[in-house]
Amino acid sequence: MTLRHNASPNQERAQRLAYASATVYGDHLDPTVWTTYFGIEPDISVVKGERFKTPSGRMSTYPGRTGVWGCTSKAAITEDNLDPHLKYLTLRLRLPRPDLPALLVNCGATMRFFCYWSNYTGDRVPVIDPTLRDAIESSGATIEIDEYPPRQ
Amino acid sequence: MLLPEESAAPPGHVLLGRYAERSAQGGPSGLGRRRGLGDGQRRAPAPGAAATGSAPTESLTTHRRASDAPRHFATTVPRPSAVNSSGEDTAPRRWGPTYADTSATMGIWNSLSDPKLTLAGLKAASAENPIVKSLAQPRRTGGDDSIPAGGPSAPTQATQLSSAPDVDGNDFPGRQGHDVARPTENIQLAASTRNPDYAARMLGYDRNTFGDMIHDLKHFFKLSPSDNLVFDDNGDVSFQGSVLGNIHDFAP
Repeated sequence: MTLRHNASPNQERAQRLAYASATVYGDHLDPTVWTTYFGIEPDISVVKGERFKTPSGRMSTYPGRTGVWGCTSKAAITEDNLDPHLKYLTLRLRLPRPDLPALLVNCGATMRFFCYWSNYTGDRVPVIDPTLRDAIESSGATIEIDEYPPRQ
Repeated sequence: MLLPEESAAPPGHVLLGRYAERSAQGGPSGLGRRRGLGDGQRRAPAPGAAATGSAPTESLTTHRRASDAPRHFATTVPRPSAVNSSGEDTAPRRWGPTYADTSATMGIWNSLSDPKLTLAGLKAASAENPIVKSLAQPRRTGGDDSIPAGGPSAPTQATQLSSAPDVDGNDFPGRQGHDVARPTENIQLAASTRNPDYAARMLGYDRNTFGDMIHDLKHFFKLSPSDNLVFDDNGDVSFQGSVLGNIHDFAP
């Protein structure tokens, strides 16, 4: 795994072919609850109905659609495959957590690992290590791959 | 270009187009003061002369000045045969104002020589003039010269008069009522697309950057990868008919 620091957001955005985010959603989500639970500060935090700070540092034009608490691998991992990104996140969140599924249900929240997958060349196939997938799914979270295919 | 006050004024010539043209170049009142007017060189109108003067075509074209013609427009013009005793023009005229309208306009024009005239007074005097009001009407679009049913209307007159070239053959692009390019009114072209590639071009982003921005937006708004978004040309992003956010917020 390659860790990368001190890279500007623009450089990261231009060079990234893959990254992932672990995010908890909920209309009544209290970010402080999840910050305490996971023991880390989130990279993104949104309270439903309030404007939020976007990754570029701007305040959003429209308020948040739902509550969001999440962390991302975009600024830390430079690999072009998903596994390093997912591994980074599972380590950071200390997954799997046996009590997490119940907590999600009690809070009326959902959790997903949202993966950016650039496939503009048309020859990239996303592959996820089964052990990582098991660790994520056993924690009550899902994996979604947002693929950007070649021009139609 | 010869000025009206420098022209001889043989009776019988009424140049509606010229005065309408000058009115079209005026200020808020619709009457513009041209070079030479109001400089103290005018003569008082002849006693008993009616304020129905005209500019002579012959002098305008030859630039010849008759020595005995008043520099003021207070000349006597014979009433055309179509004008009745009350001053109403009964002749069918495809364009332009009536004889009475022209007389009133000339009266306002002549009143400019009064040094006591204030701008407010000029506005008040010209506000009721049909020619001035007609020139204030919106210009017709298109080149159709047809007269609407029911006779010439004020907007039609405005177009006819203000679009006519000056009697000296001068044209003034950009003047009021002239056929210059202007944005189409009452039409709003809304641009939106579901195609991210087209949206990227529409909003000025390269494709890779725009895909990254879409991913961030989906991340923040809890959208799935398969959700189809609608991008407006102002950057607003809609999903299932409601605006979620603005894609520009996620620009690098």
